[in-house]
Amino acid sequence: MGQAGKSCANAIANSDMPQTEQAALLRSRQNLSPLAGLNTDARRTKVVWLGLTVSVAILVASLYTIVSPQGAAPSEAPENPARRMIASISSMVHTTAPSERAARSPRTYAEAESLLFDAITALREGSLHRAESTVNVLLQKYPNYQLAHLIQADILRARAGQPTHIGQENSANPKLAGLLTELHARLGKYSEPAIDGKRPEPFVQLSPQVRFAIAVDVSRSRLYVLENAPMGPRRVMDMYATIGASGSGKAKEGDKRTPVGVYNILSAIERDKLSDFYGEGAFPLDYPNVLDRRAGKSGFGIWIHGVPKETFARAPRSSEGCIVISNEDLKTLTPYIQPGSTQIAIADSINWVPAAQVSKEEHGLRRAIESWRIDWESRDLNRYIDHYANTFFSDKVSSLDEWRVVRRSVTEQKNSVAVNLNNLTIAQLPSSQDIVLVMFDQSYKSDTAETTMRKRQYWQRDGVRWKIIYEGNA
Amino acid sequence: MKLLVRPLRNAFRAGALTLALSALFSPLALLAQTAPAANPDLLEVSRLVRAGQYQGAIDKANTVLATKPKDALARFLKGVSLTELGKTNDAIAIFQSITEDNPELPEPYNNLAVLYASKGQFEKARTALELAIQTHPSYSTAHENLGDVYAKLASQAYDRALQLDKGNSAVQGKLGLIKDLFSTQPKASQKPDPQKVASLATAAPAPAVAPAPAAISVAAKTEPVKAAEPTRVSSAPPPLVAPPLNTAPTTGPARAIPVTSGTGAAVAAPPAQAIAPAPAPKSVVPSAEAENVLAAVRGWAGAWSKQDADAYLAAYASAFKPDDGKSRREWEKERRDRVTSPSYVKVDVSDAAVIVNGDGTAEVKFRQGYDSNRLKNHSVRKTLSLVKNGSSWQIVRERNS
Repeated sequence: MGQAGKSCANAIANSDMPQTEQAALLRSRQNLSPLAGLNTDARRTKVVWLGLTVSVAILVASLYTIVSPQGAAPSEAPENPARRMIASISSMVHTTAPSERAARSPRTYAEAESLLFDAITALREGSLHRAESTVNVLLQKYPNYQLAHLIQADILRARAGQPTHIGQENSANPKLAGLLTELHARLGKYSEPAIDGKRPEPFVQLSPQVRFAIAVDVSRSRLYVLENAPMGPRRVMDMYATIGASGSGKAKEGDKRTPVGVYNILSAIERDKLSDFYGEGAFPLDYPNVLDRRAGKSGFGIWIHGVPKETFARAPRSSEGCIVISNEDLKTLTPYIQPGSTQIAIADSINWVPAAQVSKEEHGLRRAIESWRIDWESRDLNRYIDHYANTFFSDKVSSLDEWRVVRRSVTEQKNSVAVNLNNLTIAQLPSSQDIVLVMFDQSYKSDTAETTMRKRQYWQRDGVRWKIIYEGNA
Repeated sequence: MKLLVRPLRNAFRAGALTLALSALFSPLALLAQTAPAANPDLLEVSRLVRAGQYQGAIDKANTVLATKPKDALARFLKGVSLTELGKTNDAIAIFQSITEDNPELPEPYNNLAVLYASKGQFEKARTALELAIQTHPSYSTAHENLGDVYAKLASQAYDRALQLDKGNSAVQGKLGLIKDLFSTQPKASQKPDPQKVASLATAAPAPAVAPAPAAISVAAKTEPVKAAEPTRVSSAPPPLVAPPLNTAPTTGPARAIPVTSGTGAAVAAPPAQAIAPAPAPKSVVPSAEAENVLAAVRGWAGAWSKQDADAYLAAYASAFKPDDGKSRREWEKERRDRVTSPSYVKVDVSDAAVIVNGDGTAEVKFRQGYDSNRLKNHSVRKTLSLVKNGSSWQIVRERNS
C-alpha cells in the first residue's frame, strides 16, 4: 500500500450513518400531492404556498442553471402557487431544449445515479412529489447516499418554505460544499456532448487482444469504460469519479494531484486485503512510469479504489491523487479490468472524435512505425538509428549514442532480420499532443535468433517527423 | 420545537369550539353531531379539561363512553387529557381511533401529529398532518405544523447528508411538549361567548397562590386566529391564562414524562423564574399583562421582518441605551441600515419566557430566529427589558445571552 494511499485514509472522518425512516414515508405518501388544495382562499394557506413556491422556484432555478449553463433562471417568483411555476419551468426546459431528449434524465448505467437523475428531472419539471418519492426509493436502496439525503432535505425545506442549500454558493461547511460540488459534477451528464459513434481522442487504436480500456475526464469527474469495438474504442458506460484534492497534473509526492497520462493498470487488490477505506477493491496504476520518472516526477500509490462502507461517494476533488469511485461502481468496473494489460487514459478534458476519423498526424505516425520496421529489417544502422530522437533513452541506455553502440554490435552480427508487428495499441498522451504511446507484439527472426515480445515505445513528433524517445518491454 | 405548542392549544380550541358552538353552527364536524350542549356530561368533561383536572375529565369521559363508546367529542377530550397527563401512547391510540371512525375530522390528525412529533416520529407526524390538510385544505394550524415538521425532517435529512449525529431528536420534541404545559392561550380577539364564559367562570380557578413575578412561557408563533373557517375560529376561547400557572402541581406527572424530566431548560425555566425574588405582586391577572409584553415583542419582530425601520425603531423607548456604547443616533442609523438592506428578513420569537414586575417593567427571554439573504442564525438567546409607557410596552435594553 502506497504512502499516498495511506494518507488517503485520513481524508475522511469515520462517522455512523443514522438509520433512516423511509419505510413509513413510502407507505403513506401515495396521492398526497402537495398540490392538493391549491384552490383554497385561506390567507394562511396562501402564504404557506407562496413561501413554498418561492423556495421551489429557487431550487428548480438553481438546478436548471447548473444543468443548462446557457439557460436563464426565472427572474421572479410567480405570484400564484406551484402550478404556474411548474408550467413555466416546463416551458423553459422546452425552449432551451427543442428535442424532448434533453428534458429526460440522462442515461446512466448505475441504478443509484439513474434514480438521482430521475429525481432531478422531476424537480426540473416542478414535481416535488415525484422528486421526493424517487429520492425515497433511492435512499431505501442506498441509505448512505449523502447527496440524496441533501436533495431530500432541500425538497423538505422547499415544502417548509425555507431556503434550500442547492443554489447557495460557497458553503463554509466543507461537507456541504463537497456535496454541492458532487451534485454539480454529476449534473454535467445533462450537458454531456454527443459521445455515440465517437472515441476518446487519446485511444487511437487498441490491440485486438484487448477488450476494454478506461478513460477519465477530470473536468467532468467522470470515468468512462471503453469497449474495443471494430470501429474503434467506444463508450460502454461511465461513472462519477473523484480525483485529487488539488486537481490533476501530479508531479510531486504529496501534491494531492492525480496524474495526467496513459497508464497501465498493474494489478487488482481484493477487498479482504484492504482496509475499509478502500471499499470494494483497488487497482494500482503504474505511475510514475518511465516517462514520469524521466521528467523527475515523484509520488506513488495512485490507485483506482472504492469508498468506506458508510460513504456512497466522495467529493469530486478530495483524494490524495487516487481515482475514487463508489463501491457499486467499483463492483461494476472490476470485470472490465484485466490487470497487467488494461490501459487508462487520464485527461483534464477528454475530446471525443468521430471513430472513423484518421488524422494527418496519425497517418504520419503509422507510416513512421512501418518505416522503422523496414529500416530495422534492412540492417542499415544509420537509417534505423535515424528513427530515434536525440533524447532517446531505454531501460538499459540513457543516451542515443549509447544506443547506437549497442545496436551496431547487434546489427553487424546479423545476415538477415525479419520483424513483424502485431496487436498494435496507439494512445496519444493527454499531457502532450506530440507524444504517443505505441505498444505491439514484436516477432523477430534473424539467422541467429527468434524472439517474440510485447514492446512499448513512446514516439514524439517534431514537425512532420515522428521519432522514438523510449523503447522497452511492455 | 415550536410546533408542539400550537396544536395542543388547538386541541383545546377545537374541543371548546365544538362544545360551545355546535348548537349554533354545527355544519362541519362530526364532533358537532354529538350535540354536547344537549349533553351535560360532555360539558362537564370540557370544563374539567379547561380546569386542568385531566384525570377527572378522563373519568367523566369514560362514563360518557360507557354508554356511547363512539362519541367523538368524548374521545377527543379524553385524548387531550391523556396528552396533558403525558400518556402519549394512550392518547395516540384514542386519536387514532377517532381518525378511523371520523376520517373527515382534521383535528384528531393534527393532534396525532403533535404526539408523534413529541416522540420524534416525524414521518408519522407528517403523514397525519398531510391527512389533516387533505380533509381540510385550509386548516392553517396543520399547515403551520406541517411546515415545522418538514423543517424538522429536512434538518434530519441534512444531518444524514453531512453524516452528523445530532442525537435523539425525540428528546427535543418532548421538551417542546412539556413547555407547552406552561403556555398561555392566544389572545382571543373576539367577544367571549357568554355560554363559555359562564362555564369558564367556574372552570378557571382563582389564583390560589398568586405567583409573582408571573412567569409564563409562550409560544412565539401564536398567530392571530383568522377567518377562513368562521365556525372554528370565532369561537376561540378566552385566554386560558390561569390554569397553566395554578395547576402547575397537577401537571406534575406530565412534566415527568420520561427522558425529559430535569434535563431541559424548558422544564426548569418557568419555575426558576417564578422563584426569583418577587417585588410586590401585582394583584390583577398578571398574565394578561404578560401577553401585552409579548405582543410588543412580536410587534418588534414583525416590524423587523417587514423591514419597516420606523416601526422597528418605534418599539424602543426613548430611554433605550444601546449596549455597545454607541450614541442613540449612530445606533439608529446602523439599525435602520441593517433592517432595511437585506433583500428579505425573517425574525421569529420562540421559547419566550416573560417576567412582569410590579413596577411597570418586564423582561422577556426568548430564542431569536433570524433569517435573511445574508445570514441565518437561530441560536441567539435574547433578553429584552421593557418598560410600560402608557398602555404600550417599549424596549429599554436589548442583550444577547
